[in-house]
Amino acid sequence: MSDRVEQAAAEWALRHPLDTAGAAALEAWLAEDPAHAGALLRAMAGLSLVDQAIAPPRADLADEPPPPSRLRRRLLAGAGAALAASITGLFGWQYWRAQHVETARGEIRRLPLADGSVAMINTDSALSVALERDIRRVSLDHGQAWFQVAKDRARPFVVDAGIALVRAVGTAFSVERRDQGVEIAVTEGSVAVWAADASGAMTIIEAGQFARFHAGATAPVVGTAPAAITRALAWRSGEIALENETVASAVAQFNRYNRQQLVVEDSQLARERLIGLFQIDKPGDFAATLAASFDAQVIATPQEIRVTRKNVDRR
Amino acid sequence: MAEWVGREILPHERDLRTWLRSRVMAAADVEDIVQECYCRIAQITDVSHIAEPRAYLFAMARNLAHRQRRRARVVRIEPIAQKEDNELASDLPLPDRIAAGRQELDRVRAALGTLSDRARRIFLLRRIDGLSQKEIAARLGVTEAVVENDASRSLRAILRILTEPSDAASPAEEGRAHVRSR
Repeated sequence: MSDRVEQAAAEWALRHPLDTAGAAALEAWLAEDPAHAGALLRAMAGLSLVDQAIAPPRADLADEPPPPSRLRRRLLAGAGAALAASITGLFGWQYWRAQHVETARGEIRRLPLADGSVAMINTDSALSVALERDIRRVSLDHGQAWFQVAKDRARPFVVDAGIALVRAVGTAFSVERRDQGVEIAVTEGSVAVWAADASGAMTIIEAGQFARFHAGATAPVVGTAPAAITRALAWRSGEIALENETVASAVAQFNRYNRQQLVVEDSQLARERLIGLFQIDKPGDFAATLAASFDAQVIATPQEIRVTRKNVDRR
Repeated sequence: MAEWVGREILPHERDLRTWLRSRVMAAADVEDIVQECYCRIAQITDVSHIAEPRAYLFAMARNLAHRQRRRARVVRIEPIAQKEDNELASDLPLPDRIAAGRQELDRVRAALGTLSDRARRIFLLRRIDGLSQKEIAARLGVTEAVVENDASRSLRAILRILTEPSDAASPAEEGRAHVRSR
């Protein structure tokens, strides 16, 4: 294959989607020499391997021995027929418009997807979903979502959270994307996670495990904490579960969901530790509990709920 | 189709080239035959009848080599049918073949590792975010031509890594060919 033909074939393979003019130019190029179609097919085959290496369509998770089924063969045959029908059929990529979803502060949204999966989107988050023929893609722009993924071995479910990515076939997991990094926690089954910068090295984490990625790191910090993971996901049912967490961290959690902000300025009170289950949208109830437990008083305005210790801060 | 070729044909190209070379073929002839094989596959409308893609590829190449030989009117001493059976058969059991497929992807990943950060990022944006070259260019703050050039050169480099017979393998193959031609 001449250098020039190989180069042109690589460029055509990568050029998509093609507009009408592009498709015509491709047809003209293919008509120049029968060898061009072969070179293009080879380049496209190489690109398909690259794509699979980046996000494999067949899970290499332990529970997935994927024999090529009859249906799969038939699908491939169908793709071949499309190729014969039209030269531009070579470029029969299917594009589905991505669905964009954003949640406001305090909004927790349950989003059923067309493939049977469900995304629970936490407060102040943004993501987009694109279900394609061979891959289900979610881009998490910011915030957090928990995914209950419908099993479909032929179409992996990939969540892109910027510095890190997750691939699942049929499991449940959450992905949280913050400025400080990305955290993935698995509640069912197992998922593969990897850093966007790493050249393909994946880590498999299972139910009860989490993986934390920090910017610049190629490998995640992995840990096992099933109870903490379940607790941290209490938001899915509109609750905040506290198990020996500080007042400060509880306040931060409430404030992510509510316009009416909790303020605890007393540093000693902020360091107190709590156990309890609270409703996410009722910061007033939480403040009242604090007041009763720590001999504090509550001053509420429409904007904020200030909790102060009676014996320390008298006003 | 491209996916099928990527999974079932491309991984055997390296062996095919080694095999063709072992038959004392000129490099240009090897190139022609490999190219012609892809041309023919591009014309296939239905791959469901191809149960053994590796054997299919080798058989196709063998026929093309025959034809080329007749055209060249050079009679080579080496009997063509000699060792085709063991060359053609892909006698690996299914789990091994799946493992081989994974190895192939590992090789692609290793090849990806040799690329520049930007080239790797382009392939990721393409695959994971489904972005066009234009969108990738905007995301990376470079021109579309830079993206196209980076990506196409990288794709060729990966293809080369995947399909060029390795230096370690070819002397042995050439050695065998030499012995046979005596």
